[in-house]
Amino acid sequence: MKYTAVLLLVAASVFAVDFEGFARMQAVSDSINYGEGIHNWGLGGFRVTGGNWNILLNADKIMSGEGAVVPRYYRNHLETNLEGRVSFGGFTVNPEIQFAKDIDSAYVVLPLSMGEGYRNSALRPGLSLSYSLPGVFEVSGTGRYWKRDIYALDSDVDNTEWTEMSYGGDVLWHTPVGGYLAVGGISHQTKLDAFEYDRSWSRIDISAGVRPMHFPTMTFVTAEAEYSLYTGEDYSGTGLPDRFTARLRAVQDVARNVMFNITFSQAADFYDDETRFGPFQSAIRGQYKFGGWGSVPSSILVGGQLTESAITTKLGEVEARVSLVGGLSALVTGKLWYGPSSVAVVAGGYRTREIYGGGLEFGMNNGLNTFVIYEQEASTLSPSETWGKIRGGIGFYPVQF
Amino acid sequence: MTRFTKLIFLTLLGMILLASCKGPLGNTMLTVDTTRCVGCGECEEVCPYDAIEIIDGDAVIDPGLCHQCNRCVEICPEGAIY
Repeated sequence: MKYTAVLLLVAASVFAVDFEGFARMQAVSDSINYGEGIHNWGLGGFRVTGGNWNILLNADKIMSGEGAVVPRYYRNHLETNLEGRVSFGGFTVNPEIQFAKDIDSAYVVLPLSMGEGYRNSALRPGLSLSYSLPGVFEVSGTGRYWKRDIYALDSDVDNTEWTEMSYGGDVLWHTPVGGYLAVGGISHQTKLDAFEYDRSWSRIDISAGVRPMHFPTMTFVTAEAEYSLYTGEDYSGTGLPDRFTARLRAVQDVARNVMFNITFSQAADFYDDETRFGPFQSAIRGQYKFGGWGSVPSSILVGGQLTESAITTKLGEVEARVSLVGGLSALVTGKLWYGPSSVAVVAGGYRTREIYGGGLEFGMNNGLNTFVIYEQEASTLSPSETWGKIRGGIGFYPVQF
Repeated sequence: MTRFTKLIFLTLLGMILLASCKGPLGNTMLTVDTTRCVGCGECEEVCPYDAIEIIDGDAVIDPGLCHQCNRCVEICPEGAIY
């Protein structure tokens, strides 16, 4: 870290660069256990930007306490991300590294029947390369490596020696008739050497679609069809079926400040002996914008979503931010959610959550932004539970040098 | 026939073909709707199998590690995992 800072200072003194710093903090606490909510401390970070390059460093401390009723799990770790990007001609090189250090060990369930483990740290370096000839074709490739220090509890073996490797790439051709064709692939390998666990899967995607089509009725439509060929096995040792996915998205402007966004996708899975429905998703969101403060408009958003795979989820939501005076805005939220439950008393079943609340947000011209919001949540458990939750945060972004 | 009418027709045709399929098996993998995912990392936090990672601003689920316990589905504030 010390050497990185020195290098950045030297670079800043030699080249003309922009420097932005930022920091943020967010905390959530609820009536179940006020002391052990969720805290995300943005320890700070910065972005240095030159003519054709930039470097981004960001550090967070994330902590969450365990909850008996809400699905919340104990975590306490530091996470640092360092990312660079250099562009020249049509080429882009993007190295990155992520490091997570657990302050208290995080609970992990090991694959198959290996029992439980505790994570001590994780390291993920990666490199992406891409080349783009605008309007003609794009080529990209990415490789990442994971090293997770995870210690097994229920075994004589201490360190699981958990590593993963992932690499892939794709080629996309913009056809002259307003569409595109793409071929891509990814291969992923997970190994726990101490347990002689070695599982890998790979996928080849072939897709075709149309670029956004504009219609006189102020409608914008994009459509895509994709066929994915899988090889390898999932966690249970079952072969992964090939999958065909069709996606459609339409954006309809009703007026200058009223917009609807509609998405639809349906997949089909091709097993050896039969074809079955894969995941289905359909959603609609409507947004009305008006007035506001600075560059942030007041808005009211109403949405609904239905998804089905091996599980079903339904979501209805209302969210509003209304500028009151100066940088002060009122926040309103409401959600009705139906989906699978991981809460022990209804394991394997479904539950309904009702969330409604309100709060205030205050922004200043110098980039300072604070908010506090109170939410009431009810959940159909056995018996049904109701609790209050308060969320608050403060952010400072960006700081110009 | 306009391009828009053709698109609707082809979509309906595709839906009819898909309607001949049977329902999903129990081990159908979870999917991330990248148009809704905001990369908040809530799913990554609750996954007890370390099967989810936020990469390039989207949640990425490793199907080799996912046990489909649905905790990520439940926690996702955007309803982006299903």
